[in-house]
Amino acid sequence: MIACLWLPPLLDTRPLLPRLADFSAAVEVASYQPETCLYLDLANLANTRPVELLDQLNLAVLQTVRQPASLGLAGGKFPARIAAVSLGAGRALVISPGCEADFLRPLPIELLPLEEGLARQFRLLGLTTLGQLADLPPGAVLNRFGRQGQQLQQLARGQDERPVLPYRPPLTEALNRQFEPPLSDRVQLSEALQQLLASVTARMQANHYLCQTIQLELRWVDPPAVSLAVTMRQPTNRVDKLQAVLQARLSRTVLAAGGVEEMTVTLSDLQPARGEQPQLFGAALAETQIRRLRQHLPHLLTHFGPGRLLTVELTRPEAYLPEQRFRLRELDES
Amino acid sequence: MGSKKRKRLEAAVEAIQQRWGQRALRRGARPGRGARPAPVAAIPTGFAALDAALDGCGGIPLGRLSEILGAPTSGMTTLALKIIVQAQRQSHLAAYVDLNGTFDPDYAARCEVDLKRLILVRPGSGLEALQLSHSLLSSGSVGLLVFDTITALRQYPAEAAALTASLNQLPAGLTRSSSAFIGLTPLQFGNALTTANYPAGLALPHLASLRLELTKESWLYRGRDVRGYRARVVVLKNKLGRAGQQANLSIIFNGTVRGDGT
Repeated sequence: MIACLWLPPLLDTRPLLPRLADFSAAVEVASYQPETCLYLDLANLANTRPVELLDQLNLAVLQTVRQPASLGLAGGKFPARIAAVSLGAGRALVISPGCEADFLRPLPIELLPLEEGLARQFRLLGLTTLGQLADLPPGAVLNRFGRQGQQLQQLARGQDERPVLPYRPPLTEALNRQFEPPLSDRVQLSEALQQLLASVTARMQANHYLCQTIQLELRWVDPPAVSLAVTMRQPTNRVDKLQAVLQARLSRTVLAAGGVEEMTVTLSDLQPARGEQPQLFGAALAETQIRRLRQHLPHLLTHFGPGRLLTVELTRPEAYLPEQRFRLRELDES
Repeated sequence: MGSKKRKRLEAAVEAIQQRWGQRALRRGARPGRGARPAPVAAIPTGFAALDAALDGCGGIPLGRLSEILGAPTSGMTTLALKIIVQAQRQSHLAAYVDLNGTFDPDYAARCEVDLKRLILVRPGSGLEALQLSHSLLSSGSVGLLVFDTITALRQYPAEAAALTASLNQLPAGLTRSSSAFIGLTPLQFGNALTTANYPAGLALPHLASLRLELTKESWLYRGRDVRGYRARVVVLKNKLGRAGQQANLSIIFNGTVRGDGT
């Protein structure tokens, strides 16, 4: 069973998350601006009566954020969200297992995540309710509207197999150092940055993490602090790479007259370093081809211009529509 | 051969060499007794039945052109993507020339293609597509290049002569770099023998060492729901072994795409 909490716009959902963790380890924060939508996977509470469960959830929300939530409980994320959205604040609706299709049947088809083109096709074909789409033969829907239509029909039937993606707070490592008296000499600042970065990177390496974003904050006597943030192309835990990036940024920064009182280095967007199985024989072939591609790429870019050679990146795996999950990026020498 | 015939032959050879030079006509080397042709390196297709049907190479041969033909939606793209997966498992880099702009990354990912090791080529014209293909293959930067589609080159009739010249350069580049080229040809006109599916003068059927024709045979059902389809692959041409072999593929849509030779 999956519960959906639909809340008025909240500035910060973080106070609510530890409270909801009492109910489920899998709490997902979905983005339906401006309202706040949270999903909870309550499979571990299957023996609790749904009404009691919703009362406890509502109480937890009221005590934490002082605002009532609309609650929906169903077998999938989509029917749970529709159940929550269809109510006013402070109310709850439980859809019994197997009854999702009947609940969704009379509702308008615009509740589905439709693209403009597909919505227009549905309108032209006279499909106005979820029940009408659900009743169509699946093979015909697949042939006519493709994979996207098939997925939408499954949603219209109340079948949503998407798992609740647990919210993971971003990991960071930070270290700061204060200077008394304030430092205004670039060489001393550079050495201090080197030592600070080495210490914080050692902590990150000890926990087997890689970082994607690195931030340097300099607090002056006067004026306010300066913050320099760099996002690395690839997550890394190599001190030399991080040093080179930050030292270059520091050298281009204009120092205030009073000197630097405090320096803070923050490594964020940490992710576990994955072990890679080395290939015994294939690695040489791949490296050779990559090396040749790197050598040949400037010639190709000069001769054919930009925008011809691309790579595909998976940027939003949680996006419902497949075409929103990927992004094309120009191939470069990295 | 009789002596008179031999003398006439030698006289003709001498006359040709005198007029056109020594290199115009040369004798081929004779293989030694009991010699066998060297095995051809190949990329497996990912379908055991099809690999068994590809006599002499057991897959898509490296250093040569191959062609996959079939009616639209017969499974050519799926087969090409599965071959890319196998190439990547052999540590090759792969390139996909998307002349029509129809490449679907989500579908490729569900076919288990490693998108990080796939170069997507979006050329501005047919000639640029072939030139980019030649550059990537002859430089040895990629191990496999899939050209989607050969039929799309027909929309550049003014470049027909240049396209033919560019394609004719591919075999030499492939031989030097030991890469593989797969051209996808949807049969929009007639059958595999119809030349209207190619730009004027494009001799891919002649240059290809391997030609496979796909035909969708039937849908596979589970109850009322379509769960995949069965396709038949016929080896139309195989310079490395026997042609005419067939294999059946079952392509199942189950969130991921699997191929199961039967």
